[in-house]
Amino acid sequence: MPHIVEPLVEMDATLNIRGLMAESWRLVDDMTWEFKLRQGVKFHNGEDFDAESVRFTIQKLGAMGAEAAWSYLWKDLPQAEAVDRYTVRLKTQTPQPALIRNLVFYGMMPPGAGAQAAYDNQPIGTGPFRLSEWTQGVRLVGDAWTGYWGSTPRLARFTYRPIQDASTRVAALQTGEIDVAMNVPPDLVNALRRSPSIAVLQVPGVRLAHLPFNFRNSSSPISKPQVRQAAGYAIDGDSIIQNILVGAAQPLSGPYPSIVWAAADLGGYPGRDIAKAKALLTEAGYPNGVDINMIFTPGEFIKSQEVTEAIQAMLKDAGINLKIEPLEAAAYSERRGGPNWDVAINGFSVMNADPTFFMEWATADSTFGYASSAFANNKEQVVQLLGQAATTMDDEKRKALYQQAQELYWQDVPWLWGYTQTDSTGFSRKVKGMDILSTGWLRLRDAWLD
Amino acid sequence: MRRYLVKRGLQGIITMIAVLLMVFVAMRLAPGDPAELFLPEGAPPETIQALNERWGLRRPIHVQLGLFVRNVVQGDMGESFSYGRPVTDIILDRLPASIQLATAAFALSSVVAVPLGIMAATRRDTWLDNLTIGGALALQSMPSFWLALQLILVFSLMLGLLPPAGREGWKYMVLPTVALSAESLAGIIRILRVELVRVLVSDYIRTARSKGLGERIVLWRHALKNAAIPVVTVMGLWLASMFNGAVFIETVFAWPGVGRLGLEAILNRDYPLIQGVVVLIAFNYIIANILVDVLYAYLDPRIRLSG
Repeated sequence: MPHIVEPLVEMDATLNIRGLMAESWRLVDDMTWEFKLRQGVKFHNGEDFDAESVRFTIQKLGAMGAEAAWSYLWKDLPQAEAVDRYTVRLKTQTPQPALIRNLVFYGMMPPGAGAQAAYDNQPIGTGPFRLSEWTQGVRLVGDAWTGYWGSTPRLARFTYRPIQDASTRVAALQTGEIDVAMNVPPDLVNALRRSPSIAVLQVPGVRLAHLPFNFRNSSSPISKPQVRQAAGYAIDGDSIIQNILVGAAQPLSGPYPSIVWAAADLGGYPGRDIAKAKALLTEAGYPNGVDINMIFTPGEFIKSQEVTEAIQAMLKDAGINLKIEPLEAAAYSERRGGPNWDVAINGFSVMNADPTFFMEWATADSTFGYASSAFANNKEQVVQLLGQAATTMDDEKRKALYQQAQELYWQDVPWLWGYTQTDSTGFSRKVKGMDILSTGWLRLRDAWLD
Repeated sequence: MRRYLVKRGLQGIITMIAVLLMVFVAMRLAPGDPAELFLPEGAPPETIQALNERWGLRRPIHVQLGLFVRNVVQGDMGESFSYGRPVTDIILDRLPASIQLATAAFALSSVVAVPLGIMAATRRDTWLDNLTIGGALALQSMPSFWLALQLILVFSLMLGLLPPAGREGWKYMVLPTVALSAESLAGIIRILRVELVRVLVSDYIRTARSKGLGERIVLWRHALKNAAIPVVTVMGLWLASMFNGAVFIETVFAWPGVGRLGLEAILNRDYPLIQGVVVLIAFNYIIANILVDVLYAYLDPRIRLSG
């Protein structure tokens, strides 16, 4: 969609923020952001882009409330007011340092057309391509727009088609039916690489795959820190990444994907040491092994089934019997809120590449029970640091607070294991000049076909 | 005949109402929260609650049911949670693809299967019969998604003859049509052969032959009409199920039909969209059954006259 509608700011390939519809911005105070807008820009329907367009877009967002995409990333949705024709202020009720990163999700709308109901099916923006056909779930076609404020795209047209099945998607790329295949699963990457006309680009992604412990049940064996640590020593993470994920993953070095700007490098998981794992279990009072149970639902991350089974086998060597209970997604999310499980499975994309949301979420009572846990040692400090960081507007100070919080959280061994997914995009070598972001997004603004 | 049809129609409407009520209740009894499944992982409880309220899911179930009935009577199936558009629009977007594929697959399986079934029955226990039945059995035993992947492997990747995915022109139809027709094709051959073999040894056929009728008249006028009844039943159900989309085939070939739409709606707990798809499915089965009944009446005077 960023091809058709454009937000105030966008992320570059390494997920730093840069201006798009806004040329610059500054903080007036902790709760007021002022943006200077790009001038002389027209929407596809001829309307001018100005402060009123921003005000209208933000207002529409507020009216959509919970239904607006990514609304949960906001503590409160901002109010917009025009200072002059090309200056606009966004005000929030609490300090929200992540505001600037959250703005990447919202394309600017033209007030005239955006107010009409038909807009939702026929979006009009300022982007390099204008929508020419869209059937949801079937096909989206964009044609190069000659009135674009930047240089007119060299690609005359793009067609976006969802092809859910990965092997069909890859086959379509191999036969030349499509030029770019997004989200290529790791085991098909090598097959694609064998084809001389196809290139594969792998970038460190923002999707975390992890197996969180339940911090609710004080009578479970995992309430003992040694048991949680022992599990970590039982796992041969490199082997899982090389053999099951075919190298398309990065080991975790802390609770965030390394591409997130405030991620702390905490050294990650220790590496396999069965003797150490057994010693820890004995210390915890389980010399003869221990049973722990896991709730599982498919599709949380790539190869989740195979990864989980490998972990089960590895834990067994250390005397930990992991009982896996497979559940359908809806039943799973209901179970996860309660105390009757020890390990769960979770995939989470840090799409705005900002630390604010995920740590608060992962430590909340409602998810894995960390914040109110009877046995998480550092929970008070972590919660306090996260609260402080969430309202700190200075990025350097905020980073320091988040790194401290990550370190304390990590000391409590909150997850059995995890990794960050590498995003693989396959494309024909004819495609040039295309940007591929770590979020998995493509940018065709400057792309062309050779 | 007319009274028979009216009766069938009324029964169909009652079935439809019953199906809708069952789906309405069953969905709300099933675990899973539509708002939670709709929102990306990590949405806080307040957001989930707010969205459920917006969708009217926090009202007492009898109030929800009342609203639902009122809207359906007015022809309004509601707005999909995940698409944010009227359910009827979404289904109408997808329906042409399903109808196209179903018609082609049904035509292909009928045109190929009926002659093969007749041939196998009339040349019973010859190598032709064995080959046909063996082939049909093999075809029926193949899971459709596996067959679909093999077709892509051979015709798209190895031979480069046909595109593997999408619906951009007639070429795109070939592989999904073949994959979708495989099971019904094999099924029709086998049932037709069994029925025809049973009929061909019956007394009235012997009588017909002893009257001196030619083998062709015996087969086409006398035997086939009687053997057809179970075949018609099965074909009717197959036709309905094809119109309702084929989840695996649509997934593998990225064919934008209603089968996958329905599956996604269920996984997302998109209540209005599930209801819409269920109405369509029920409607198709009811129509198919009425069609089959009409054909029965044509084929069998006992049904026609007792109507």
